[in-house]
Formats: sequence, C-alpha cells, structure tokens
Amino acid sequence: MIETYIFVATYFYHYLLIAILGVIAVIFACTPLAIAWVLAPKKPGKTKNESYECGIESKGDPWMQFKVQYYLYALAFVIFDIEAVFLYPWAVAFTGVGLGGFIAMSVFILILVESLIYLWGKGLLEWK
Amino acid sequence: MIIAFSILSVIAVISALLAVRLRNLVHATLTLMAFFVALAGLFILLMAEFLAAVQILVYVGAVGILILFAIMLTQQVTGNVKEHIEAHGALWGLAGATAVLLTLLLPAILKTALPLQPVVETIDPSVRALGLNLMSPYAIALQVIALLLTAALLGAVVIAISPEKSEEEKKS
Repeated sequence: MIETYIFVATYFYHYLLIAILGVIAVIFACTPLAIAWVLAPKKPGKTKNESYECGIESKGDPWMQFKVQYYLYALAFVIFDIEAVFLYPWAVAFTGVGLGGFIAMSVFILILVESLIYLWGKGLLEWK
Repeated sequence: MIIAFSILSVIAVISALLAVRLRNLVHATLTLMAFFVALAGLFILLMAEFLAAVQILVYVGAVGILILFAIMLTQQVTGNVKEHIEAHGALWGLAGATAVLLTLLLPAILKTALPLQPVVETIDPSVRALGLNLMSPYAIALQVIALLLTAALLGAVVIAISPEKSEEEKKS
C-alpha cells in the first residue's frame, strides 16, 4: 500500500515539474511582448503600417488558396506520427522485450518504410 | 490535484467555446489545439500517461496540422468578421436542453446506484506494461496496424495525384 502511495506521489511530482516548466515558458514568451507593448512609442503612420517583406511590396491576399497536392505531406506526417506513437511504449519497455520485441518492431518499421519508398518512387516527395 | 483539475477544466471549456465561436478558422484551430493540450493534462491527472502522449502527438501534432492544411486549401479562409449569424433558435435550444436534463438525465443519474470500486492494491497503468503487451501477445496486431497505416498512405497518394498529372503520364 505504501509503495502505491510513493508511486503516485513521485508520478505527480514529475508532472508538477513539467507544469512549472510550462508556466515559465509561457511567462518567458509573453514578457518581451508585454515590455515592448508598454515601452514602444506608438506613432503609427501609413508607411509604418505597411507589411514588410524583404523591401518588396507584397502583392495579393496572404490568405491564399494552396494546391491540394500539399495535403499529401500532411497525411504522410500523420501516418509517421502514429508510427512514433507506437514506438514510444516499445522504447519504454525496451529492456524487457528482448530480441522478439526488437524483431516485431523492425517488421513494423519496415512495413512503413515500404510505404515511404512507394511515395518516393512515385516522385511525390519532390517539391514542385 | 483539485487545483490542477480546476485550472485544466477551465482552460478546456474556454478554449472549446472559443473554437466554436471564433470567426477566423485559423484562430479556431489554434484554440482547438489548446483544448487538446488541456485534455492531455486531464489524462495525466487520471494517470493515463500513454493517452496523454497520444493526445499530444496525434491530436495536437498531427490532427491540428491536418486541419490547418485543410483550411489553407479552402477558398475562403476567414469568415466575414463583421457579419453575425442571426440565431433565433438559441433560446429554444436552451429550453430543450434544460427540459431533457431535468426530465430524463437528472432522475436517471439520481436513481443509478454507483457502487464503490474496490481499492486497487497495485497500480500498473504504465507505458512499460503497454509496451510489453504490445510486443508479446499483441505483436500480430502491431503488424496489422502497420499494414493499415500503409494502406491509408496509399489511399492518400491515390487521392493526392491530380487527374491532370495522370493524364500527362498517359500521353507520355
């Protein structure tokens, strides 16, 4: 019973550290913005409010429509992201699964590499 | 615990409401991702570490990106901010929801007996246990998942290849 209690306590202690880190990250990112908002002189003009892009005037609406081909990259990313999700418990249990686990995961990865090779062979990884 | 739960639920509810109400689709997606992060925090409070990791990796990482891509592919990204939807049904919807809550849900909740669960002696919801099970009894299921993901990617390729390009290939 006491072991369970210690386990739960250490568990939440570790995530408390992560939560504190997250709060510090948010403060760290927001402080310069707040300081700039307070300190910066506010004298907007027509030239100042123009969008700046390497000195060239930007043309058209930035909310433009993209080609549907780019969606493939997002989908491929999702597939390999889910692969990473399955790699995670395997990596945690790596010391306990032995050679069988290694072979199982190798087959898993190889099947997915096959789809990557298919993608490559079709020439869909080339950015046009 | 209660403090963490309260903070996370407030973030979750507010960001979910914003995700529904915001007129700019990109902002709505970002608030939806904030909602997913808060949900991952709630999973951690329930000691479901793997679910939290899946929530962060798949929902915040992949699904959020997927939705952003889908928005980039659509024609009109931002709705007209000044234009308001004239909603007349809101009051009726609220009345209906309250009626359902009072007549159906509350009596059902009050009548149902919730027996106390026996105290768990050992907690092992760990990712390690999941990994061990995934390797020995469920190794076949893992390979089936790999095949399923491959099939999904092939389907994506078939959809993504534009008809013009395949016509060009036929000509050449």
